[in-house]
Amino acid sequence: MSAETSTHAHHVDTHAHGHDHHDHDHHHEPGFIRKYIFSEDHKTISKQFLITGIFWAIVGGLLSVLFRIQLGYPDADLTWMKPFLGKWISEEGQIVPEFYNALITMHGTILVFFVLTAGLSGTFSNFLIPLMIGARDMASGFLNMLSYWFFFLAGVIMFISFFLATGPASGGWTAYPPLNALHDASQGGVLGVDFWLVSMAVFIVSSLLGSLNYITTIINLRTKGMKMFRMPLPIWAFLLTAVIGVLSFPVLLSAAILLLFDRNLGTSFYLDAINLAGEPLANAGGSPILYQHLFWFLGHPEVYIIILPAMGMVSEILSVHSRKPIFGYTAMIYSLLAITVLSFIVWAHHMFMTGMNPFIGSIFVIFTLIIAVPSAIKVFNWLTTLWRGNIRLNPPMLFAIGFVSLFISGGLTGIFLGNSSIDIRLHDTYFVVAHFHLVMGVAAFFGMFAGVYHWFPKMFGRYMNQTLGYIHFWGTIAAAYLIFFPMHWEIALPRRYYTHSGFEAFSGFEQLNMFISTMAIISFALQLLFVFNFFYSIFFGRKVREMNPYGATTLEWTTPIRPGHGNWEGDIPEVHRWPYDYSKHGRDFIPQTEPLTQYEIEHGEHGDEHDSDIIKSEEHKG
Amino acid sequence: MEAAVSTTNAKELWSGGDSPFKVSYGKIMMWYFLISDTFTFAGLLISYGAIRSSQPKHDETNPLSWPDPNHVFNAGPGFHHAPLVFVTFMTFTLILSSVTMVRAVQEGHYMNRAGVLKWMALTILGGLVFVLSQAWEWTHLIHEGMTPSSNPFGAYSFGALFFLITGFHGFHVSVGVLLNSWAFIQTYRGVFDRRGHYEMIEKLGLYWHFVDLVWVYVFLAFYLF
Amino acid sequence: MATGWLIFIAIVLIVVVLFQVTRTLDLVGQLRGGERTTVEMTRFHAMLGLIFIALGMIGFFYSFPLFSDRMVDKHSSNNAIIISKMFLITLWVTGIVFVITNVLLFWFAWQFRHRPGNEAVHFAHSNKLEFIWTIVPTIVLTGLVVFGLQAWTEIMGPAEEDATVVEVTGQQFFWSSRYPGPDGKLGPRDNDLICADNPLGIVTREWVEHRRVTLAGSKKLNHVGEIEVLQNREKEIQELIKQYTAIIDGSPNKYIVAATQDTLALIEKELGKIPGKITIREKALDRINKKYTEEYIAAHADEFTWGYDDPMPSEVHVPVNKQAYLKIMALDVLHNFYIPHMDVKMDAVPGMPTSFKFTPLITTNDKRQELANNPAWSIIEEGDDKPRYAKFNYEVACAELCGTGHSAMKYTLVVDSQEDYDKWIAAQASKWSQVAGSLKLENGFSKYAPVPAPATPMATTTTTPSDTITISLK
Repeated sequence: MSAETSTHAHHVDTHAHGHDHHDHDHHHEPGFIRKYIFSEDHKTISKQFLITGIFWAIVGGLLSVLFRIQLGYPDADLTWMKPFLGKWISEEGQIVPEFYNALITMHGTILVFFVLTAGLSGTFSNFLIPLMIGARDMASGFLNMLSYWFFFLAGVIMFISFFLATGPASGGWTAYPPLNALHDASQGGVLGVDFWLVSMAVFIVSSLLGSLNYITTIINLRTKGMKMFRMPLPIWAFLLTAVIGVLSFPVLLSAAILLLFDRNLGTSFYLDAINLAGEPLANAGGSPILYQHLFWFLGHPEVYIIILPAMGMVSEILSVHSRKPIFGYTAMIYSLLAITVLSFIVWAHHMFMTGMNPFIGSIFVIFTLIIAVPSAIKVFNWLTTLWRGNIRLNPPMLFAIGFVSLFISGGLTGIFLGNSSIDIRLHDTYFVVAHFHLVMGVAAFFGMFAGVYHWFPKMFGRYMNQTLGYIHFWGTIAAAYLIFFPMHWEIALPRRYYTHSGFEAFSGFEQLNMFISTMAIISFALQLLFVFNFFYSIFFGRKVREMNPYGATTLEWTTPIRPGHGNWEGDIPEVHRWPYDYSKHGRDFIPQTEPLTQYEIEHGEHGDEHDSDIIKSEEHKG
Repeated sequence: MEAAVSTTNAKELWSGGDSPFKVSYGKIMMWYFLISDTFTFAGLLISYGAIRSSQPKHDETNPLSWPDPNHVFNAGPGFHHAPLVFVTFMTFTLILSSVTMVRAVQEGHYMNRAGVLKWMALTILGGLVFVLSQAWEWTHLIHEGMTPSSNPFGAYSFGALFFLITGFHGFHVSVGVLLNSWAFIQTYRGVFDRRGHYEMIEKLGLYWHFVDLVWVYVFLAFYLF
Repeated sequence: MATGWLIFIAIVLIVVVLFQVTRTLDLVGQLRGGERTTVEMTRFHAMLGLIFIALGMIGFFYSFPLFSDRMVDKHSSNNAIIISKMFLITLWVTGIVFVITNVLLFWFAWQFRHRPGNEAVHFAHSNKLEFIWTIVPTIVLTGLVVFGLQAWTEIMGPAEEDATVVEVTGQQFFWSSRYPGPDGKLGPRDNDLICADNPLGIVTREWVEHRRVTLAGSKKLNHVGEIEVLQNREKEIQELIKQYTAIIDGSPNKYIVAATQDTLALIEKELGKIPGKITIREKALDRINKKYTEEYIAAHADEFTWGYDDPMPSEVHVPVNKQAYLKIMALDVLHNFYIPHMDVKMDAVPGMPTSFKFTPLITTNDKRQELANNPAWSIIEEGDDKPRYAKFNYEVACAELCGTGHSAMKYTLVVDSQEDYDKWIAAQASKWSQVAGSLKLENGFSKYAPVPAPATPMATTTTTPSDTITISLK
């Protein structure tokens, strides 16, 4: 950071803390540790989340490469991995079944929680909320910092569990009891699950601290004129994501506490009538299904925690690079709200095959399929945003378009799965794996990539290498489709299988599996390209020379090229209009800070005459 | 002098254009935290409901049926065969401490440091008495043979749920006592006077009333029905 | 190794070159002016998008039939037929949306790309459009929900009175099954009664007594109980530890010391687990003694006889064209009884019996004949004497992660003609009534009850934890 901007940072810092942190005394330049490690600046914290997320994405991706090798190349000789993996590689050079289970478990846990929750929402909520609503920082910088360090601690605990003699948790990322409640039912159950649960508990604390901050900041710290219905869509998405997090994560916390008790204190919340390998356990009176209800009460909203921020950012990016307002701004907000509400009442569609009452199942079918309506609205609105636009295809825009495509392709298969009768066939098969990887795995990653490419100049004051970005995009979207589209053909194959070779019914997929595995490895290698581009560009990327390189309307582009702590050097700008005035009245864009002209009507305030918008604007051009 | 000027400017800037509830961020945050905590307790209490409904109802002849609370909780320090007397005392103490908390918040509004100190001290005392009473009750029950995995009075789950949920609640009370003590010291040192408001006491008050409210549900679940 | 390094170096070089090229491209783009580059890049990538979507759609339509014959064929049961119909309807609906929206997406990116002369239109809102694409998906989805729930109710509805009842039980890592005998009733079960001879814990007067003896031992029968076996083992290990410690302290040979230390670690681990195992058994014995009092047995005298005639065959047989009603149980962790061909899938939950019904429509034999026409099934594989189709069987798998041997929980379903089934079940019943007879005859401890072992799990992936001790009754 240049000396000049540092001074500003310091200057604004006094402003910031004058009101909020009475007991802090910040009248000196923060040292290295306060500035980069225990920083309370939302931008630094967001970068910490992003880089930690990238680390975990690499770990999680590597795990998937390992188990894809087992699935695609079961005969490959992996003896050379023995020095790293030890007894997890058999004498014949194969991954042992217990380790395979640990791999899929940790892959799921890491990607869902550490990468796509903390890495995605943590990064962009932190970075964009203050910048886009016009705030100097988060409501509580201290809690925000704690949020990151709790996340870090959760990661450390999870990482340690890899080095346990009995291995990390291996009972699936959902950690269903009794498998995960008993110490002797699997090796991962000996100690790995305890680490898993404690790590999750710490992670939940981190997530809560973060979410509380996001909500409070958005509600209370908007700049003058920033009405709720003038907020850019990413902010709406972050707000609702945080609301979902605040309401659903605590339920996982209670589920985890109960499971910890069952494991270590001899209680029977989830256990009943168990005879494990001839040992009649004394546990009585619990129900394994109870855990599933508690877990999925978080677990389903969790997929929206993952996808909503991506949706919000994609809406913004599509609009900016089409030079067109996002189509149906209010409809977008209401569909986000609808998804938020519905996300809490669909959880049992994960449990159609658990023997629960079929009538209750029917109710969940109805809610589940209703949730497809707001999703459909969003897709059509995105498409219409592109229609008659002036589209610049740079990497962020391509990733945003890729997101829409993947969200469509993965979302549609959800209509199969949400219908309980079809779910009888599809439950716990590779069809499910294909579905959720497309719709919330790869799609959310695309949202994240779009966000990183788009806001990288704001984050680091430099551009990422565009050509590498293009290669990264085309390689990744091709690989993603080539991995997960053919996977739908594996309807018959049950998931979480070490090998399908024991069954005649599951034969004939060896070559397909090999193809998918090859693609998975290629796609992983391609992501390293991104990682390289990311870190290289932080230090050596082309410098940003203009404040608003994309010609965007939102507030983050009114800050200095490398904003210090406090974001704006002078007063925070005032907001006078919604954030999507692109190509209006013959102007390429009108920033949010520009007051309405005398005869101009603000978007959303002119009744039902919107259809005539096109004509109006064309008249203005003339 | 520059600092003072920039502080006033900063105030305007920080408060932004909209502050819909005219409430400070700290209080909003506390409210959302309490909503979130409600869900944690709800998760536990729903588990309680689910497990309890799957157990046989109280039945003198069935040693594994749900126990009769009058039978389980019939002792206090120095007395026996007095069903629910001790827990009534505990509940009363906790509710009383909520009342004193209200008074402390009120005195905070008047910026009356001595008043805040007095009522906070009573609140802390109430909390401490509650936590200690609970510790006594736990010890007593463990002595009787009730642990998370066994229960001489009936269904095993009763013991497990009892220790889990009252323990989780007791943890909240203990945290509350610690926070209140910290605020007491801060008040004593005049930190809030210098700050110009006693909002911290108000936020802690919200938390304390919440913990009190949750106890009502815990009380209903284990002691009354 | 050398080739490995060469490949590695080659890859590094390629990456470096590639990166330099990309950097140069970026720089050249900047030198030529941002606007011109943006237009050209946009055109290039919009074109790539068209190619991508064209190839993607071709791949979609090409690969579907490529694998459709390898997905398990779905007409062997009524469930399969119902679900296939639902699947097809949904496939058409979603397929159309999939093609249209994806093609539009990339087409728009091409058609409305940034180029000189193209201007965006300020088109932000249209109630008419929003209304259309709220209402149309709602109607379509309502249709799918209605059809889906009809199918769901049909599959999950109550079973017919005369359905063939089979009880299946999952445990790590195999399935077992049980039929109601000639009396038409399945005997009650109790996990505490499970032992090697009574693997499902069936409750009869004899099995209760048997379990008491296997746990506590019996002087009269000259049998040592499991608890005592464990206590003896405890003493034995303590003795061994002394000996081994002496060896470690005394032996000059470091290899012997190392080996002894390893063994010592193993038996110490075993020793650590013994008290827990003893407690578990003592508690179980306590529960048995408390529950099965003479009054209790007298009060349930009727139920206690139901279990005598229950056959426990090593595979599931059901008659064709008749509803089969599965009662699904689990002993240890969650499992899921999954018959791919029949679209049968239901969790097995410890402590909570579940059920599922289906009507098989094609016998195993007919299915083999059907497959004989399929070239892929007519081949004779190496080391086999019969073609593939002749060995065909409906398979049962586990579809809920249950531990290390999850992928090895294979079981067999045989669909018989009614005639064959009647013969088979009669044979089973007579076989198992003999077993019951011998049990009743001794009236008490039946040490050598000839209970067939449950279907053996596949040996390849099922591993026994090395630290389990096998307790032999003999």
